[in-house]
Amino acid sequence: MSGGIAPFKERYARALADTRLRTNLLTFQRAWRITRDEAFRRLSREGIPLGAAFTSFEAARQRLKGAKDLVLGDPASYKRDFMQRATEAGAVIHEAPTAAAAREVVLGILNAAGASRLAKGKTMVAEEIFLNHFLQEHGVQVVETDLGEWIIQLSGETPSHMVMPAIHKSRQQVADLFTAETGRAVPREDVKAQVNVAREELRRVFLAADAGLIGANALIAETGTVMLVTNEGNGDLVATLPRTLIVLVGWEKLVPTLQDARAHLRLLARSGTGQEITTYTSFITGAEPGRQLHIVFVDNGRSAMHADPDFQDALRCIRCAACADVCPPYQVVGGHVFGYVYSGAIGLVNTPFHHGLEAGAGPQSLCVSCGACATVCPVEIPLPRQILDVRARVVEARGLPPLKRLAYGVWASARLFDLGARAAAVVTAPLMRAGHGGYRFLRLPLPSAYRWRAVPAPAARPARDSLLGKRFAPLTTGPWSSSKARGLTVAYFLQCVTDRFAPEQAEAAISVLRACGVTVVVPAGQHCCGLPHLDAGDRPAARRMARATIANLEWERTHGGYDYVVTAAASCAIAMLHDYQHLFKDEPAWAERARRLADQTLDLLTFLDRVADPPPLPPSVSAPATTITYHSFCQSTNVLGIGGPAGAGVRLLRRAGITVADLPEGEVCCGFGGSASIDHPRVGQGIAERKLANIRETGATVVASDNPGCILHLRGAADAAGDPLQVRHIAELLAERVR
Amino acid sequence: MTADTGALWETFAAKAALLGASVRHVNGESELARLIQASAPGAVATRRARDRFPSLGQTLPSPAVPDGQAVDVVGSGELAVAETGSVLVAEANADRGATFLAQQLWLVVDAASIVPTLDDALDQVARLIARGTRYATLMTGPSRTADIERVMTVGVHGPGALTILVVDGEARTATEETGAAA
Repeated sequence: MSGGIAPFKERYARALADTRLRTNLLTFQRAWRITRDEAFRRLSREGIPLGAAFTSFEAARQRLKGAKDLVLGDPASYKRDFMQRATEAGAVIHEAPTAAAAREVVLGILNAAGASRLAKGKTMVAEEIFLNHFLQEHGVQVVETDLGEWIIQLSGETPSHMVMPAIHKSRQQVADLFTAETGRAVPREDVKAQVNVAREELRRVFLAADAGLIGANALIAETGTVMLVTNEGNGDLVATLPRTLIVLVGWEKLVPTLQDARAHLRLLARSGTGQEITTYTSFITGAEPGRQLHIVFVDNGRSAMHADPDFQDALRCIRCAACADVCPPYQVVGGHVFGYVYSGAIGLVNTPFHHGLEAGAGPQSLCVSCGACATVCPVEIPLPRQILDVRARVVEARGLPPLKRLAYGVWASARLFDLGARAAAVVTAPLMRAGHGGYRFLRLPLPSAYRWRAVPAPAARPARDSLLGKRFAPLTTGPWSSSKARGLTVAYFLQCVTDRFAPEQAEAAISVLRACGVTVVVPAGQHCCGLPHLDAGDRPAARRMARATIANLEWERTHGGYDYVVTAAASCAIAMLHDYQHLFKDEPAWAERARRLADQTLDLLTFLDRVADPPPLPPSVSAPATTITYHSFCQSTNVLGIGGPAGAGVRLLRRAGITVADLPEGEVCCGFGGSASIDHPRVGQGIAERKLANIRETGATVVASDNPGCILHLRGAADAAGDPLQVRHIAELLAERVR
Repeated sequence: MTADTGALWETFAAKAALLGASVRHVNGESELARLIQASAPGAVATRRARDRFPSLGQTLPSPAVPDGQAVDVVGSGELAVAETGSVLVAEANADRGATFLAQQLWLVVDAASIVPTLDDALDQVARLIARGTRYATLMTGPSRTADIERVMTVGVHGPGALTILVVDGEARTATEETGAAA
């Protein structure tokens, strides 16, 4: 690639204008999901009868994670072992603390070897340290030999995906690049012919090179072995033909033993390309007679990551790019925007360490916190939480933009927020209009970037006015009144958005709980749980609001008593269950109070499904022509594990006698993403359109969901598109059946 | 071939078919030599392949290295892996270059040298490394790429065609061979 990377805004604008990229990445993500899932299914089906080890994603993942954690527990010791064994086998080891030092080391090796024609295999570390440009400036001819890397070298770009670097390029663009390079007309439609051009051209490079440079997929400490996983054959040619071989690595590639490599190999190709195994899996131990092998360890921020308890886990990464392959915003903007050199969720996490906080600031703002990346990471890196940690550091360094600071400041204060919300409801009343789906929106002059989603009208009367401080008795009759939750008391958490925009959702939830024989109390003094502030990166405010929420619910526990805290706002339930404890990681007393709260907190669906476990009802006979589908809140799917066609939402609807059509790509986010769809409206739009298209495919006129944010977002997007789709909380549908 | 290895070769063959690799069983060394003569008359054979199968050594020259001109190269397969359809190759540097530059690669494997899983194969890799093998590769099918518009294309830089020649008859385990790749 050429010397530098364009500023974020520029890359972002370019990506938004590239509709072909978006379409290609959508096709790619859909195909990847199918082949990757099938590959892991086959691993179990075929591996078990053969007696293979680690015959499931989960088993292999736990093994590899454990192996990587051993290294992270004592990296110096594993580095020493590796270096000793490799040196005994004839390798020369180099260590470079920075990118600049690493570039000099590589140049030094080439100069000492008298080498000026370098053939390169694929290595992200070389991209990370911007090696090519530097070498070329110092008189070394560098030719990329991996097809995708050669393509982007010719076009002067960085990779847009860690495994498929030229995924953003069309065959016609490739043909034009090859034509310009070779001086021959290369067929624009014939991919096979284009590959043949690369084969012919690069053959000469392999044979003429006097040095080769590759990366490593793993470093086996116990034997001093470099493990290389490739498909094309260029890596092995580069490692074999030239007399001098340089292996450029980060030390995080270390695994203790060859046994660990088994788990690695079961995971890498399946996660990277959906293949069972790549064409060439090579084990390189030391130098062969008459040849040189140099292994250059680059630190470039890895030690800083290791020293940081929040980010150390990210060093387990095996560069499979699965995190990019499931990422909804990545699909809309591609890896040049959702990343810097490294792309996908891992890129958002490691860029501040390898390239500085500035480089990471733009990309991290695109994350919608859906949690999909963590579900497919072969080494279980807590990426979603780490991305929010990066966001907090960015906000700490730069502050929030003034308008946001004002808005979130008001929001953080229960009193100011209440005043502001009531004032807003009054002021906007004349702007109200009836929209599609039977919902009310505001007639507002929106900037063009925002017109794809109508703004909901505040409720005339917030939920708190009729619910706060009240106690609701259970129903004693009705089809679910003798559920297993009968006799329990639940403290109901309203949620700010439900309170002000959709009180009917809270009413429906309370209604269903009562119908299950539950006493419902709505603690007075409730306010927002602080999730929006966590999402915006304002940790101090998020902590203040979390403390207030914890204290409020504790007060209720001691003065009123309850068995569970339940809310129909799945996002808040998850904040209380998972985010609060991390917020207070430096405050053990509050962390303990948060943990006690989490112990008693459930989202509505899990409460109904696991605790109430109500009996099935006969099929609904009303509105038989209505097709209903279900969108599970992304975090309900990815964090709580209650999504999918057999998840709690679908099961409860069916138990209530409602037929549910399967939603394609049901596990994919709707695009609301808290502040992400406001900061990046076009990305929110892209993801929303994907969700609405999937819904349309089911023929459903009603989509139910378990999260108010998703519901308002999809209602607004449907309205702006003229779609009469009804978007309702699942609690409302259940309430209609059991009231 | 025992019933067990027979079953493993069936599993292997199914994988190979999916990968676009060919598998041919030959009975003994002379049939091997005849087959190669008939199918790849200009073939060259690596030293390791020639050492293991002397009749190949008599009829086929060594590869000239490095020139990248040889179309058909016959190499030595140390063992086959049923789970993945892979063959373990541990050629010395000069010959290894030839195997990767070939347009069509023929890997000769003893029928008895098949293991069920990748785990078994890695155990063998560990043994090779302990004995000083500097470079070992599990080859699984012909080279491929999907880097252009994700269209799968077989035949990039490594061989575009791979045939595994399984030699039944006088069983000779490759692991007994002396001289690790050097």
